[in-house]
Amino acid sequence: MIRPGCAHILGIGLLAAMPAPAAMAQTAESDVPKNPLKEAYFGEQHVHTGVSMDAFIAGNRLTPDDAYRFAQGEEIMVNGSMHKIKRPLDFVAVTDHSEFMGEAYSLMNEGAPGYDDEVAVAFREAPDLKTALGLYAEYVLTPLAGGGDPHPEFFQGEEAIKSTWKKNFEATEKHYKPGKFTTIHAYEWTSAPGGSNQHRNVFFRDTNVPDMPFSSNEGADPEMLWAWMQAQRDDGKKVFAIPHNSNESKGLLFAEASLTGVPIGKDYAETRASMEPLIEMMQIKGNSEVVPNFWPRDEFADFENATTIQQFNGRGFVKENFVRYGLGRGVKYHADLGVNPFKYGFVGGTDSHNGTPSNVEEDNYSVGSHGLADRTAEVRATSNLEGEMLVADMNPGALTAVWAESNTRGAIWDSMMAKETFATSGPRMKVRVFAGQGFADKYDSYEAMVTDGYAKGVPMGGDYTGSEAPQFLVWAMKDPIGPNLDRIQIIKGWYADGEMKDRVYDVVASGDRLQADGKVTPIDAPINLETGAFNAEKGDPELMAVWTDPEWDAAQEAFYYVRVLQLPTARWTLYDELRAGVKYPDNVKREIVERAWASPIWHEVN
Amino acid sequence: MLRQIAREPLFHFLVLGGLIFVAWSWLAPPEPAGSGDEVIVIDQSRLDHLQTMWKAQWKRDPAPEDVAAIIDRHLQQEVFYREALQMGLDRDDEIIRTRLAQKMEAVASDLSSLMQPATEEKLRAFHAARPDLFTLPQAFAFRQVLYLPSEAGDARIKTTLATLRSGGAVPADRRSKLSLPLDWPLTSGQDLNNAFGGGFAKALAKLPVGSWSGPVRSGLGLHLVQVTEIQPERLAPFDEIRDEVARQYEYYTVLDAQQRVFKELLGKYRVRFDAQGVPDAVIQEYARP
Repeated sequence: MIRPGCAHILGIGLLAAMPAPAAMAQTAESDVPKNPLKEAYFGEQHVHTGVSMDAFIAGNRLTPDDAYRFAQGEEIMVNGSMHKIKRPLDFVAVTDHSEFMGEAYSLMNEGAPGYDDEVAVAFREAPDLKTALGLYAEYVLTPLAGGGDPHPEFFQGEEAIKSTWKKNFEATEKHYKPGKFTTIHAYEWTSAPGGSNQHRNVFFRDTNVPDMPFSSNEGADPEMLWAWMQAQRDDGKKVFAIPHNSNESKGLLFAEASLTGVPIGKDYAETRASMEPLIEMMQIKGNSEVVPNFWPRDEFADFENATTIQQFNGRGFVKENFVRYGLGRGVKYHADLGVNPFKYGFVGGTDSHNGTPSNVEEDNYSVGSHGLADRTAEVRATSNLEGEMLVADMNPGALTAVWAESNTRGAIWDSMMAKETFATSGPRMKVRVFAGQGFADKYDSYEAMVTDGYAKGVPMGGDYTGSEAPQFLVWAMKDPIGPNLDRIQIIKGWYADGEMKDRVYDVVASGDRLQADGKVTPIDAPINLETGAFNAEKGDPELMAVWTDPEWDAAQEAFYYVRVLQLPTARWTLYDELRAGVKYPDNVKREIVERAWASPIWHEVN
Repeated sequence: MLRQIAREPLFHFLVLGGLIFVAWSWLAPPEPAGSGDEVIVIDQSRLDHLQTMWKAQWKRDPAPEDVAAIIDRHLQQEVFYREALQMGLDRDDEIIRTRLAQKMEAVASDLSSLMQPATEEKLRAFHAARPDLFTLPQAFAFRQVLYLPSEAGDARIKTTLATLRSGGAVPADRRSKLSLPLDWPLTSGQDLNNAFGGGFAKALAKLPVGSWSGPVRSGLGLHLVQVTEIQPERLAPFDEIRDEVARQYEYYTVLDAQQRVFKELLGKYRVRFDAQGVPDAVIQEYARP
């Protein structure tokens, strides 16, 4: 077996001197020119390398160093075949699990204490998926579910965790190129009490990071994570967290009470709002926006819903799992408490366990995302991702775009904190949204439009504070290598008469298909099922409109977010069928409508 | 990766330990086994190592009674280990087999790197041997003015082309159409295809250099284009990308190493298939007459 990047017995690089990258990066960051109108930077905010123990067991031996190289467009050996993405990324955060980071050190570093322990050897040497999964169940799942000492016997204590965290830190520093490619110090806090996914990714603004990340072994309740984050902030560190997979949360991510059963009050709401500016809308294990069962009137709700999640761990779908519900519940909390605990902007990610950031291209999904579990088309067509869902129900994952003044760690982190972000289901379309008064129907140039947007309104992620019905200036452009756009929608949610309500408005559609009654004539642009090619003629490359809420009530709490739809494209399953000759069950989709979701703008009363 | 490992104190210790071991073996070859007076040495570095491991586990300094226990345990392990070797208990043990094979793989990688250190000469040879890694694709510098597909029949396209040809300015409403810059410095064909949609670079390659022409179709619309420079595909000069070559060299050397060493070592053996049901291709590959 070839193991590039693994530890070695002899010291080839012993004499190599290393510069001090941290100091260099900080200096360079302030020299990068700023664009006050901001640029959309595309990147990954959720990826695991071999440092994450579950990824390691599934066969991943790639390091954060490898992941950052892959992100910059280099070809890397992934599960035995060379692989690369078509377009380099602008930024990446490697988010290895903090749980078992110490074990990863023992597993991955020849000569490290614990490396030769029987269990460590067994993990490393797992000859097939079945053995690997048995070990996973015994040493990862069972401890995560609670009870007993969570660490396997080869665990060498805190020092090992610190060593791993330091190695991740060093790789993250090494690849940071201010102005060109941004890396962010981050990790995943992974807690699943009672099978409810409560996972959070934790992001640091700069090199001021703790010696050791806080894991669910130290505290499995998000409130404990926030308390730790507060201690970090008190110590001068800048940090926020991003929850993901609310679709697997058993309704507990947007719950009525804390995990300990205390009804959500003002303190809890303030803490959560402060710690968590963003939520992951979509990733490999499904889109968490909405599902058709609970939103039957949203004709585009049937998209990467990952419904087979419900067959495992008792994670049946409830309305309370989904982001649109969470936004509405947050608005209601604001009405009741004066604080919105769920005031979330949007990001997307992959949660790839292959060490391959933003490997999101449907036509380039040849190596899958979870090691041995989905490495080939033959496996993908028939298998489960053990303990989670059907592989055919997974998707390559989503992307985050951040409107920032420069491609630097500080600028990107600040824009994420301010929620000036949008998520896409993979393509690189761009979307801008401003809420305010006095926008023009048409602008001479893009710059003039954006300048006016900032001058007269607030961007995505902000609060509309006017007293009249808000105008929304919306603009979107296609992914240059993708199909044209179908339409832009605004989803409004509000709280009135004790009820949470929401409605989807079509705001502008390509080819003037938006009728006076607000309906859109459907566009007939099917894909070519023989080749996977999309329709390159229909739709528009750019859509722009100014929309005013027709049912505005200044006394109502509300949120508004923009959804952009492109024309249909082939799903990865069709490419597997065309290229590898496999056959997916008939009910598996071959065609999808990819999309972007812009962070909401809120209207808060008082 | 190697450099990171090189900075691990534990690694330094192992290297040092290895050197001491080599020196010791050379200076004082061990007595033949079973003579009754074989030596087990607890020197300072051995004891330090044992204590470091103990401290990592218990997170405190060992007390004198702990040191006694550490030494006791070490001696017991060492004696059992040596006797087990004498009795051949290591043979046909699956864990020991894989562990030793794995160590050999690591040795192979390192041997290979030792035999092929990244010298100037090696790097230059690698650079020359892998044009696929170091060729800079064809690149274009140009100005462009975009009209959307819905404006395809627009008379302005022609008049704008005439204006531009006679030295006129780009119309204000076209300066940043679709947020796309007017001026593009030398950009590779691949990057252009990603920014404009497939086939755009190919279309640019056919345009005259210096004058405005078009419209050229892209994934975004119709472009009037003034190509200012076409840089042909070329191998990036070694001196400009030395660090990149070194990085790729290290990556591919490790990638190739085990396979190469395996093939060489395999040459020392003759593989014979007595079993039934081995695919012909496998027999062809491994069995020598």
